[in-house]
Formats: sequence, structure tokens, C-alpha cells
Amino acid sequence: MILKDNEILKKNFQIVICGSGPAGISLALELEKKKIECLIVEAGDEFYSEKAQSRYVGEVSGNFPEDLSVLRLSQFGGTTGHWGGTCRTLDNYDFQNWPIKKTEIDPFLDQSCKILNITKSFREKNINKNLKIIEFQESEVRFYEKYFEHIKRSKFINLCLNCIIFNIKMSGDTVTEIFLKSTKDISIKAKFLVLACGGIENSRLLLWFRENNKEISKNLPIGNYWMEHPFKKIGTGVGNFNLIRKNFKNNFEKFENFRNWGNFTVSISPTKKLIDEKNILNSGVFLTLHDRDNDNLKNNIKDLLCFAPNLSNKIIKLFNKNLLCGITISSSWEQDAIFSNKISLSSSKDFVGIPHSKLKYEISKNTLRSAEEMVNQIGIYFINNDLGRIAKDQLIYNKESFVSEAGYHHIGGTRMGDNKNISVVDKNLKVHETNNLYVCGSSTFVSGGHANPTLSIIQFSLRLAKHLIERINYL
Amino acid sequence: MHNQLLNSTRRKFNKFLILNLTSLFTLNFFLLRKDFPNSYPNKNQKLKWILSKNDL
Repeated sequence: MILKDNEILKKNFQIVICGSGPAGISLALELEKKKIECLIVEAGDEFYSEKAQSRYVGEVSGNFPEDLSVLRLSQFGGTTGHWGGTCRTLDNYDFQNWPIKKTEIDPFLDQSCKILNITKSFREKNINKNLKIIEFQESEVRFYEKYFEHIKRSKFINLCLNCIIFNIKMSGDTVTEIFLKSTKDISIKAKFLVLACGGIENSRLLLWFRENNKEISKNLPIGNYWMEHPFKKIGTGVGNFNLIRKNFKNNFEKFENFRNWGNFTVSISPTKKLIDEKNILNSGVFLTLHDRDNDNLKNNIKDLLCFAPNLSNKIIKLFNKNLLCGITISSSWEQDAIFSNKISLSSSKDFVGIPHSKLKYEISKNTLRSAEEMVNQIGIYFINNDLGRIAKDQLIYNKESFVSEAGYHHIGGTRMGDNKNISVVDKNLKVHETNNLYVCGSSTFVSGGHANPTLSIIQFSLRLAKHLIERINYL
Repeated sequence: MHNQLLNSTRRKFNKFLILNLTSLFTLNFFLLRKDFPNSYPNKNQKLKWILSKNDL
């Protein structure tokens, strides 16, 4: 049910969840099944409001889009209000540096797919020893549309809109009071507090709490090891349309059709062997074919023929038969977890007095090297199978830093781990050296892989729900 | 004596001029070879093609 701030004071909540995005709502839905009463505190309104969104303004330095306020939504449902919906699970080898294995979140995949209304099918097929084609799913779920009415009628999920967690009070290792700002300032108590407000806000709030509570250790790297998935065009090519289609033919029909970028799109990822041998980062490379009525294609053919005169007969034949197509290679790929890439607090403050976020983010040379290696591998595959020829874009072979064309996946900042010097939360997502303060969302990821994070975020939320239910039953 | 000196200076100057002209021409050839006929055409510097030996 939806509560006003004076109604909150009359109730006792086992769990307070900060944020009504996919992480917070999935957690609340799972708790509801066990009849555990929780309160979701949402800083935004039912719909978009300029005022709530203004809290997302921040400073940016380095290789990241300048405006932090357009990359996420402060409203019920969070960023699912404008997300693309692409889903895929993390790979087993993404968990190399985690304190848990992928098998820990696998049991929650069924339920997560149900929440997102997607089929549990993430197939992959090796095309050689180094490359594999992979399947994605596309979710059309907007959390507002799917869950707002349900939460409104729920007896166990309470929701307070336009309500901001301003601060907490700690006594020893325990959060004893939660201070909220709504139409007036109020304070409430709960057994557990979960921060589930996004990959930037989780770090921002925790940093702010630490400024006001000496109990939160100064050694915890809050905000550090921040990552994203840069999206960039990294290569170009020309090739035989029919041969390429035939070669990459798979039964991942849904994936082939859901993107409208070109006549045919296939997604390619490195195998574990390639990642280990070349010491590269995980990638999701999208290979899109375009028809011949394209100026870029004509320029690329001219360019290729200057370098490869022996290909001219073949290419002219294909062109005359209307079989020659242009190829665009784009990638969304993993980042190194680097200590200096971080969220910190800005000197400017939002309208309730919490400092805005300040993001420092640089793309590493290893990131660029990984992209170059993927284009190299695809280029070799094209030569070996006589599909066409691939070229690397300048920024990739010169290893030039760039500003990502996306910037929507915010990973790290409150990363999971056993070592308190390089992690913020333990494997149960509890902040180190605290008793009842939890963080949920992609901010806890140790590495980002290349997969869009929402599906994994929900898997971790459901896992956290199981852990909290066990703790509540134990109490 | 004066003539000898003059000849020597002229010879040195000629040597200097020839060397300079040669190096200038060589430099031009390497740096601006796209302006020479029959040089390697490379209009699009933005791409690096991945090619097999047989393509070249």
C-alpha cells in the first residue's frame, strides 16, 4: 500500500528498502511471499518529475558522458522506465574474482526471468576455438506498469513516494534510526536497511552515511572500482551477404529479429580459451550487415581495394550480383576494475542537502586492447571462411580513449569481497563491519562481464531476500 | 692566395647546396610521397584492414 509520511510513523517495518527499481521491487516481492512487511522509500514520484531528477545531477571527469541525470530515472520503477530491455546472464568466468561462484545465483534465474517476462534461454554456440555466438532475450517490462497496482494493493509491501533517506544513525555496528525527508523530517526504525537505489546512488548514499557515522569504516573503498559497459563502433567491413548469413545461421531467431539495426545482426563473444590466452576482457560484439545502398560501403570498398588489389575481381563480381554488403562491428564490453575510477561526493548539494555525485572514470589501455583483439579474431574468422574482410577503426588500433556512447550500466562502487581493504560488502551483500546495513544492485558486482546487468541484479535481489528471510526467522 | 680561398669557399658552398637539395628532395619524397605519381594511394587513414597475404 502507499503510505504518507505521517502513516509511516505508526508502523513497524522489518526491512526498509531504499529505491523502487528492479533491485528494490524484486526484493520486496520475495519478502511479501513470506509475509514479511517492508517499506520501500522512493525519492521520486509515481511518474517523472524535474525536482526528483535534479538530485541525479553530478560532476563528471574522464571518458564518460557529461550528464549523469539523463542516464537513470528517479521515479517509481527506476531506470526500467526507459531501459532497452536486453537481458543475458553473466558468464561463469565473469566470477573469477568474486567470493562466490555463478552457481550461487543460478537457482534464482527462473524467478528472475518471470519477473522480466522473458524466456530462460541464453544459448551459445562456438564458431571456432576463440569465438562463440550468443543469445540475448528482450524484456518489455516496465516495473511501473507491471507492479505499481500490485504494490498499491499489497498488505506487506508499503511504499512511500517523494521520500528521501537523508541519513542514518548507527550505534556500534547497527543502524538504529533512519532519517527521512518527505513533507516533513521523520525518523523510523527497522531491523534491516537495504540500499537498492542504483549503481551510482548506492555509493553516494553510503559515502554520505560514512561522513555522518564514524562507525562505517574509513578503510572501505566506497565508490572505488567503478565500471560501466562502454558501447562503441570498433570495426567495419565488407562481405558476402549470403555467405555470412549462412555461416552464422543459428536458431537464436528471437535475437536475430529483435534489433532493427540492419538486415542481420549476430552477437559474438570470446570463449574462455581466448580470454585466458590473450588475457582480455569479456565482450559482446554486435555484427550488423547493411545493404549496398550505403555511401560508407562504397568508400570502404574503394579503401579496401587500395590495400588489397587481388580482391578486386571477387568484390566487383559480388557487387554486380548484389551480394556485397557492408558490416558494422559495435561492442559493449567489460571494464577493468580500477581503484581510481570512482564515485565521490561533490561540493554542490541537492535540495535536501546531500552532496551530488562526482564521477572520475578513465578507460584503460587493456579495455582498448581487448576490443582490438576481438576485431582481429573476427577478421581472421572472415578470412578463413572467405566471408569478406574486416577493418579496425582508428580509435581501436591507435588505442585512443573515447567517451562511451551509452553509459547506462553502472557497476561497482560497493563491490563484494572477503577482503575489507578491497571490498565494501560481504558475499551476503552486508556492508563490512555492520550488522544490518545491506546494499543491493550492480554496485556490488566485482566484475561486469559484458551482459546487461538487470537480470543479474534481480538474481542477486532474490538471493538477498532468501538471506534476509533466514536472518529474520533466526531472530 | 685570395683566389684559392675564394675557390675553396665556392666548392664548400656548392657541396653544401647539393647536400641540402638532396636531403630536401629525399625528405619530400618520404614525407609527401602521396603527391608523387605512382605513390601508394591511402585516402582513408581511419581503417586498418585485416588481410591475408594473398589479398595484397
